[in-house]
Amino acid sequence: MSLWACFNGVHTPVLEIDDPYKADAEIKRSMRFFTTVGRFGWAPMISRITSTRLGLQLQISSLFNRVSMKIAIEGCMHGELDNVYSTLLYIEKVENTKIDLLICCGDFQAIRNKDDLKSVNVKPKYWDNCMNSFWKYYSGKETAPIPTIFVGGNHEASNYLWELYYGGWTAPNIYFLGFAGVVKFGDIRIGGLSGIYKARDYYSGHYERTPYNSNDIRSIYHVRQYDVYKLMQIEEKIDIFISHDWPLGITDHGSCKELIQQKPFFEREIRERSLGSKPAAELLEKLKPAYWFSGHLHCKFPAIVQHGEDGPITKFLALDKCLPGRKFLQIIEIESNPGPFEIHYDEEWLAITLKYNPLLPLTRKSAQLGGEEPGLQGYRERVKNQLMARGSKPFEFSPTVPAHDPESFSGDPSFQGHIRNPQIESFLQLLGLPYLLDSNQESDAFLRSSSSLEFRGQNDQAFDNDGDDDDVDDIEALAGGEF
Amino acid sequence: MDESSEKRRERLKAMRLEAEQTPNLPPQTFSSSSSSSSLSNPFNDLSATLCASTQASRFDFYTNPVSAFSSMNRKGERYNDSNQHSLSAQSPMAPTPGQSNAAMTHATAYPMQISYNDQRQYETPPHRSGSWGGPMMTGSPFSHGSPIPGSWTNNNARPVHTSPPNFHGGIRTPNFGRGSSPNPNFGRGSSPSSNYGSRSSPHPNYGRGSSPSPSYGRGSSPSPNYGRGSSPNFSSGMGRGRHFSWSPGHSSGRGGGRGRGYHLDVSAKEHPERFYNKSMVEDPWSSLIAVTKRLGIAGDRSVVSDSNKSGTPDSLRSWLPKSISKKARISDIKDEFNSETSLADSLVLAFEDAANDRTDV
Repeated sequence: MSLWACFNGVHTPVLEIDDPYKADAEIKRSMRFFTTVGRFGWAPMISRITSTRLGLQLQISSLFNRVSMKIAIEGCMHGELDNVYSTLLYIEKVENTKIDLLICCGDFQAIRNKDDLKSVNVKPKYWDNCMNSFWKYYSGKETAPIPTIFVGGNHEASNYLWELYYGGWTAPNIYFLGFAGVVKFGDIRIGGLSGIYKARDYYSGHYERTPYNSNDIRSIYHVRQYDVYKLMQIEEKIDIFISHDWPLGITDHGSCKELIQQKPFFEREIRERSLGSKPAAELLEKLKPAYWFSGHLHCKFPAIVQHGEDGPITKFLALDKCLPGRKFLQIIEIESNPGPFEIHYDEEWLAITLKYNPLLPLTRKSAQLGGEEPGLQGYRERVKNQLMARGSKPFEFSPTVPAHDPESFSGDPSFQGHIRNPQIESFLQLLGLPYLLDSNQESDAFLRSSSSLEFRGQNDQAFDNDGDDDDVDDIEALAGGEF
Repeated sequence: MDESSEKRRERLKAMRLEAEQTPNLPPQTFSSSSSSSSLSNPFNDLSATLCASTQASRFDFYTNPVSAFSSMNRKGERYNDSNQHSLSAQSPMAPTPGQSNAAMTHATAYPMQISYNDQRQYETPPHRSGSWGGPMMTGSPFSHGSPIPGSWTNNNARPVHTSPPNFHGGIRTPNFGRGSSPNPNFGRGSSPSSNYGSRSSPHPNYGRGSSPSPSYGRGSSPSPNYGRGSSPNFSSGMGRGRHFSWSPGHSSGRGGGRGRGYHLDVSAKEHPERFYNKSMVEDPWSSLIAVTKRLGIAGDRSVVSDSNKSGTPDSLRSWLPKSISKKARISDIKDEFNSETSLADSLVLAFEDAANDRTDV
């Protein structure tokens, strides 16, 4: 029988034990060792012993040397990776500190090459400005100096993010949380929801497939009930949650006056209580994370939510996009174990994914949710065993299309159709799930285009009225804002 | 004081003659009071401006000013670092000492101001197109340049200073600091302001001939940029760069430009201080008090089907993230291991459980 140690989600066999009384002595000896080591710096401690099919498992946690993990939050990236990382390195220098993680709240614009621009909801006249700097990190020309986690917004290379629907590395050291997802960074648990809320698409399935038509290119980043529902199943505490748009009603918990001074054109929506995402508000109420960060509205807005009398609180912060003089970054400190600070899969989230993947809706039809369902425990056991066997670090980054080449006169190559990302294939294999993201249940081009046209015909007014209202820049421009 | 007008005329004539006999000097040298009304085109005499070899060598490390030209970036093209160095002093694009940026000429180092003169980097992504391109494209070693836009015909540029220019882009020494920067180029405004050196500006940017220190920018603040070229180090050169200024008071200039913000024209690699704000490391919630959240969303029904199925009893649980609920965790752990008996018991129980699990397989 093996004695396993679990530290920071990493399971390692440490002892072979045949006799419980011998195990007693061995474990006590191990404990003395850990405690002794702890006095000199690294202080893991056996906190719990559980039995598993593979043997006894030691839960080791840090006791003495809690450290301050410094996390940088960024509002909307808009591809400005060079500038954001440079600013962070500068902060590290002038503040004499070390930033352990960067969290970005959407509009990351993980655009690998010019072909990806066809999947970004941006008018072609802005395409050249959109290329920006992500491709350098994707190609390996640049490396993210700080581990980065992000959710999607409404200006994304949606084809690429769909490849990584379950979450994965978009570039070395740059991790996409998925359309919905939870990961662990050290012992900090970070959840996120990609996209923005639009009521009309909320109950649809994920029917959009490349090449996106003018409707699909917008709807693909609209939040779906299925993904929110999965997040609502989380029971264990979330430390940090990220969404692109703000939770509805969050403005009640901060200085509305200052917000309206910054963004007067939000006043009506605030008054009518329509500013923000309804499902995000429900998630806030359900998950009650210690921190919630958002972007989208291009301004800084802090708020503190108390969940009921004497209840827990959530510190909310929205941030701007990256521009000189703008408040697009915030450094926070969270107490953590000493590391290693790495991204790991989250066991509970994987169990939820395993349980609900068969219900993943891949057509316009909504998912059949809410029926009588078995508990999560069985799924957790399966996931736990898989992670013990394989480890919980995400699968390695692997590029799927050539990166942008600014020296190329012929331009970037063009690709049609869905590309299976090896990370996701491996991930699904780990969970024993089928690959569905290229499911053509409704992806027949003719069927899709005709149904889209039909749908559009019925909803012309809605689409036309909706227009670019996803785009905060346009809203601000119309309202006379600076950008 | 007692000089008669006739003597003064003679003296001035002699000075003119003396000046004419000195061919290789810049046509005009900077004076704090000088303000030429008829500035010549510095490119009319490139040989003269380029011959100052000892000073021209300074430009070997200079960032490619061509990269500042929006028309090039419009094509989404970038330059390699190798290109950067190919922009030598022999290039007609190289700024020449003595040429000055208008913004420089008028840049005053007000106390509590931070002055920058920015220029783009190779790494800088393409930016929004500007209304003018770069005449310096002529003779450029770069293959991806766009032709010189005809709209940019500013011939006003004229060397107005002989001090060596301070190239912020080429040297990795940050040129910032509050109030006492030795390189005060621009005032700081409360918002990014553009100084296009517009002809309509009361303070035209007539140093714009060939300096790599362009001084246009974007923003909406109607703020002309003032300055005084009294700094020993200032950015001379053509006003083609980006000038952001945040001044608590004296920044002025013409704001212009508006865009979707997908791309920045200023690089944090060169000027991270422009992106940094002290509030980024301060507690953003310090002045707030917690406001109790109403249950439910504005009286509407949930948009998440069966959202309460999983229950909300966790609302009564500790809200602290595991990472910061230190006390509880430590006490829990201590309780678990403060007795040898409990450890032995738990081990035996756990071992038996594991053994039973294994036999079930």
